[in-house]
Parts: sequence; structure tokens; C-alpha cells
Amino acid sequence: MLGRPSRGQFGRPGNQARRFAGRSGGRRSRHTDDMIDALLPDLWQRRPTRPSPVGRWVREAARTYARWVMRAPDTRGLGTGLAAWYPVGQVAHHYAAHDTLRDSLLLGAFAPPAALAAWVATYKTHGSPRYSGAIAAIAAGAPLWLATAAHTGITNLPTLLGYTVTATTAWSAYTWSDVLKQRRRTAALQAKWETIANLAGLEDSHLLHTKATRTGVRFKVDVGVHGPSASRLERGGLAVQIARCYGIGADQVRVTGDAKNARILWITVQLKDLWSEPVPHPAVADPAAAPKGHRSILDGPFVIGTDPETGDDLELVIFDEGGARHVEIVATNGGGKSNTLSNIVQQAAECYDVLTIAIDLGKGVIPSLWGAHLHEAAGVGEEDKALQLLDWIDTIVDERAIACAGGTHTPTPQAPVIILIIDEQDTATGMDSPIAHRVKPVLDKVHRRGRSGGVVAITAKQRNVVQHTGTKEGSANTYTKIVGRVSDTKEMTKAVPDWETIGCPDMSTYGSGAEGVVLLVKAGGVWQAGRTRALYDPDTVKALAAAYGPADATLEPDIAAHLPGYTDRHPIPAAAHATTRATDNGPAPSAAPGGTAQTRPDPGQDRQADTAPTAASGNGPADTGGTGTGDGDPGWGFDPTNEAEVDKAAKGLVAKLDEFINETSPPPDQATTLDALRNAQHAIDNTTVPDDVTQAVVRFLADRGPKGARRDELTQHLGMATSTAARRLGKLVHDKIIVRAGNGKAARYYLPAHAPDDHKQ
Amino acid sequence: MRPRPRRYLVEFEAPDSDGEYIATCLGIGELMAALADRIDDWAETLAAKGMPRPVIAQFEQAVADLDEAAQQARRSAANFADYYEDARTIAARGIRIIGAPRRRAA
Repeated sequence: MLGRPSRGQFGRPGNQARRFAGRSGGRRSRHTDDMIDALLPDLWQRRPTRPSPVGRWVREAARTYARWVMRAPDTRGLGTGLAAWYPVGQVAHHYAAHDTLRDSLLLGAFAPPAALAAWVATYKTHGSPRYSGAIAAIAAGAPLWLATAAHTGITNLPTLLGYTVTATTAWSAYTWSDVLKQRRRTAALQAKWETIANLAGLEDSHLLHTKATRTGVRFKVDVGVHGPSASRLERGGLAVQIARCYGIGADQVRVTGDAKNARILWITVQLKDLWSEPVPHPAVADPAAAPKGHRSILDGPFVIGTDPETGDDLELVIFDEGGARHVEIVATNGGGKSNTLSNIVQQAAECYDVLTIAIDLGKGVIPSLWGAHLHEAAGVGEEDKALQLLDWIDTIVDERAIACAGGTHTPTPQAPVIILIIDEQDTATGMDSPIAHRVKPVLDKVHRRGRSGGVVAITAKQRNVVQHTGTKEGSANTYTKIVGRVSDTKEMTKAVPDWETIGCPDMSTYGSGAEGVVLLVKAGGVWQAGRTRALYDPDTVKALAAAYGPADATLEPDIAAHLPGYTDRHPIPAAAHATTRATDNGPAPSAAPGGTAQTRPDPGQDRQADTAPTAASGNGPADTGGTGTGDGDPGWGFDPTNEAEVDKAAKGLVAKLDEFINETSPPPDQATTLDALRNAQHAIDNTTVPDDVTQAVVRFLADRGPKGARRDELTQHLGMATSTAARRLGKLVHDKIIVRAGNGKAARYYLPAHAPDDHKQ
Repeated sequence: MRPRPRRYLVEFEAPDSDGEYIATCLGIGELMAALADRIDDWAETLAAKGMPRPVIAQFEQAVADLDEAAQQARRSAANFADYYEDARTIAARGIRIIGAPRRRAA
């Protein structure tokens, strides 16, 4: 091949002598030389021994013109081609002279396929109708010109004028198209990328897409199939190498793979400081922009911050068509948990169908800041209130499970989504929490079954370890994990075990020095990193909470009536009140707090009525007026004369009972023969419990009160062997001196006066 | 022509352990519930075809009784677990691990 340099590495000179490059002084690119070589004829190799001056002049002119064209091949090349195509028309005229019309038509018939081929070839590459249209028109113009020239010849003025007008129009259309500009810009970026790729060892890669971001540039790169894989580059030192190319910090370059294509690599280069400016909260800057109760929780996810790199919102899904989406927040002390929770509470305040309940037994931050808005809250030293709130939540989950009958709760202002926030979770469920045994079952229940019932659990903790959480149900059923600042990489791994696999930043170092930096990892590995909106000033937040005031949503009246003490603090709306009183055929009482006690169900009502579902009252705005139940008994919460509602309620009730019974007595993991059981029972029956042991047990349980005691606690207290203690405790139960509730490790012993009302054995 | 009777085989073996007893109770409960559902569906089909209400009313009662039977079977499992809770603890303490088989020398 004439003058073709070897295809060496980037920057390496070719092995062969370069006949034209040697005279360019290095001003032209290799690509340009190749193109010139291909254009020039072979006669350049056959140099005459003594070239004439005219020949040298022609050669020099041709080379100069070729260089001039290659500096702008799109425009000048096209112009040259159009100019050269005019005399070709004379050839067509010459060969089509015998039957001008037929041959002209035949030549013109080549236009459609030429246009189609040009369109297909260019549209797939550029994706622009304008660009492909221009190319197709030019391609179709060639046969049309030949057909025209065959008929008219080219040696007349009208033909010359028409061709000139058409050619200049085509040239202008192509030259002025935006796609051409884009091609030039892409070529420039490609050249820039090639420089980076060469320095970073990615010579075989191909730049697919470049996007300017708010803080720098983002490259989409095809790394091909021969070089290192995208995941390997992601883990390797590519980010550091690129950072060295730019002369910036290593944490300003992020290399991530593409979940859908292993050949694709995304490289984000941050040339500006991401964290120089805090993200102001619109509710603080302009309270009118975020009024209370102006939207539904179903209208979209909560916005808790901004991704400074892209400007996108940090979106947190709390409830969608699939039901409640639990959230877990992990951050070290001062790592941004409270600010994140404040953002969530503020977003919840904008929804008319949400009630927020907060428990923080450690510091009481959220109850203190948002007390004016929260539906209920328990702070430091309010363990009893926290347990009462959790009992309410427990009941709400049960009642809504029955009402939903396998479906998903539909939030309305009269049946809102309940957001249960538990901050400083270790104080509620941790090893040292005195109420962990009461909190964990409820929290587990919310995590497992709150989804369909519209009860969202948002837990915040300093470490995602079971010593703090007490259970792994939360992590297993969490839809979104939010990680704030953590102390080190080990804690990051505990928070998101596969953070390296999915390409998350390490939150122990990411955005160091900035407040409110969080990482949101959703189920499936999709993640966002950014900065939460600034709600750091306690006075500002308290003022905002006071401006909002209590939420306008109300619990379903029939469920509220089942919550002990609820109606004392939250009056049932008048319309719902009238519904519950309709059985007395009396006038509806007012909604004054003093009259709410009348809404409690009749103690004599049978159990079925107590557990009867409330599907009709909770699932739609149509029943908000309390008149939709017709002549039926409103005390049931649905119309007993409506067969569909009864059937739905019955199925929910049976499902709930099945679930309860199956849970309470599953087959044991380790079977015990019936003979052994009978012998053991016989031993219990024949056991005589010494009086001092009886008194010790009674005193211990009396001190424990309603909390009761586990078997191992009693065994340890009595200081005797497990089997002996079990035999004596069994005898005390047999003699009804004490009572037992639950089985297995969950079994607890109480004095009869303190026995729990439900699940009583 | 009388329809050919279909055969149903239901066997309950005497349990030897607590696990077998509880599993059998739950199995009986599931069987009763499934039977109740089948009969309920069948009765609804009959009603849809115009069968007089007094004729199929007994099946409605049968469905309710079978549901009750299913619950009682499950409750029996719960009562069993509760009754032998302490005894099971003692019996479990009697289990002795006598050692694992030694590996034969290569």
C-alpha cells in the first residue's frame, strides 16, 4: 500500500517511510494522511526520472487541493463531489442518445433505492431524520441528475443553471444541518477521549456518548471484548489514573459499569466541587411552595434532597401501588439521620393521606422538632407511651389486613398511610433495651405485613447490626436503605453488604466534609447519592412544624375505636361518629372530645363484631359521609346485607385466623416422642415445689409485673438446673399459681393478675 | 344410572411424636378447610343453576361446620403445644449426644 504507516500504538511512528507525512511537519493527523493516500492515484509511485515543471505544478496543486478538502471533508468534499458530478452527466447523455426518454426514465428509477439505502445507512448511525433526509436527497439527486442530463445534455445554459441551483441547495442543507455540528463536536470529544483513554490504558475502547453535567463531564464508553472487563476497571485503579490525567482528586472520578451491558462503562468526572453549597429546603425558603396536605402520597415519591452531580431529585418511595415501602436509615452519630428524617416528615406533611408517628427513646429529636405536626410521638423516658403506640400499630395492621382481604390498602384522608418512625432504634430493639421484647414483635409484624396494610416502618440506627436492630426482619423487608456518613468501610459493608458489587460510593469517604450526604439504595441495586435538603436549624424546623399543625387525616373510626386510649386524644370525626351511633337510632352527637367515649363499642358485643373488618369504611371516599351503609348495621363496619362485602370480610377473617393459628403452633423443629412427653408430664404432676421456690417465683414475677419473665430468666433467678426449674414451673402452672403465655423460646410466665389479655393460654 | 362413586382415601396414622401430632392436626385442618371450600363452590354452582335455596341450605351449614372443624383441629395443635410446653422442655433436656462417628484413618 502506498505510503501507509504501520498501525502502531498511540503516538508511535510508523515503521515504513511516510512519503507525505514527512513533509507535513507533523501538522496533519495520521487519519488525514491515510485519506490523502487513498485519494491519490498510483502515478505518484511512477515518478519520472526528470519530472517536467508542469507536472510538478499539477502535482503540487492537486496535493494542496486534497489537503484543503480533507481539512473539512464534509463540506468541501461534498462541494467537490457535486462539481465533479456535473460533467458525468455528459457521459449519460452520450450513451443514452439513441432512446433518450426510456434510458432517462431508467436512470431516474435508481433514485428511490439510492435514497432508501442512504437513509437506512445514515439513520441507524445518527438517528436524525434531518440529517438522513439531506443525505437521501443528495443520493437520490445523483441518478436524477444523470436522467436529466441524459435527456437534455449539459451544454446548455438552463441545465447548468438548474444543476447549480440544486447542488448549492443540497450543499447548503447539508452544511447548515445541526447534525453536522454535532458530528464535529463528537469528533472533538472523541479526540479528547482518545487522549484520556491512551493515558489510562483504554486504547481499544470507543466513546459512545458524552454528556456535560453540572459538575463536569460524563463519558459512556464501550470497552469492547478484548480488554479488561468493565467490572474489573470499576474495581481497579482506572478512576485514579483518569484523575491523574485531569489533575484532580481521585474521589472526583467515578467509574461504574452498566447493569444491562457488560461492555459499557460510565465514567463521571467531577471538575467542580460537588459539596460547596448546601441544598436549601423549599419549605424554608418559601413556605407557600410546600403547603400542608396539598398532594396524595400516591402522587409520587418523596423528594428529600438533590443529586448535585446531575441536579436530579433524591427520590424516596414510601408508598406506591405495591403498598408500603419500608425504609432503613444507617448513619453514625452526627451522620445526618435526623435531617433525613426531618425531610421525610416534611414530605409526609405535604400529603393529605398520611399520619406520622415518631418514637425516639434515645434523644427525642424528631418528637421534639416535629411535635406540633406529628400525630403521635414518644420521646425520652416515654417507654410506656411508645408501647401503647406500638400496640395501636399492631391493631391497625391486623384490622387493615382483614379489611384488605389480600389486597393493598388504598390511602385516603379517612384511611391514611401510617408512617412509623423509630429513631435511635437501639433504644427500642437493642440488646440493652428493657422493652425490646415488646417492640420487636410489633416491628417485625410491620415489616412483614405492613406493606399491604399501609403501615410504613422507617427505622434509623447508628449501626446496622443485630445488637441494635434485635432482628433481621427490617433489613430483609426494607425497600430503600439510606446510608449517611458511616465511620469506616466495615460499617458501610454492614449497612449495604454488596455496595462494592453494585458500585455505590463508600459513605465513609464520599463527599467528606459536607453535611447531609446520603446514599439511597433501592431494592434491586439501583442507587442515588446526593445531599439532603437542609433542615438543620431546630428553630426553623419547629416553626415549620407549628405552621403545618396537626395532620388533617384521621384514622378509620372503627379501627380507632379499637385502640385503647386513642379516642381520648384524637376525636373521631363527626361524620364517622354518626355512623357508629346509627345503631341507636338517636341523633348524632357532636364531635367534641368529651363525647368521643360514646363511640367505643358495646362491651357486650360478641367477638365477631370486634374483629369484623371495616372494608367499606376504609377503602374509598364514598363512605366518608357515613351514609353508604344503607339499612345495614353500621356497627360491623360494612353492610351485612351486601353479600360481596360480607364475603370479603369473612375471607379476610378466616385468613387472619389461619395465619394466627399456624403461627402459634407450628410443628417443632426437633421432634419429641409422645412417650417422653407423657413421662415428663407425669414427672411434673408428681413434683412437689418447695415453698421457698414458690415464693421466689411469685416475688420475681410480681416485680416484673405485666412484662413477665422468660423461662431462662426464672431458671437463672432460681439458680437450679433447667430441667428442675422447668418441672417446678410446670407444676406451678398446673396448680394455677402462675400462668404461661406463648410457646418455645417465646414462652413467658406471669402472675395470673398480670397475664396478657390476648393470646392467653 | 347411578354415578360411579369416586374413591377417597384419607388415612391418619397414630403419631409417635409431638411433631407428627401437630403436623397431623394441621393437616386435618387443611383438609377440612379445603373440603369446605369445595363444597362451598359446589353449592354456589348449584345455586347459580337455579337449585332451590332450601335444597342447598344444608350444604351452607356443612361448610360452616367444616370451617369450624378446621379451626378446632388447628386449635388442638395449639393446645397440645401449650399443654406439653413444660414437659417438652424437660424431655428435650433428656436428649444425650453420644458423639459423632470417627473418621477412618486414610
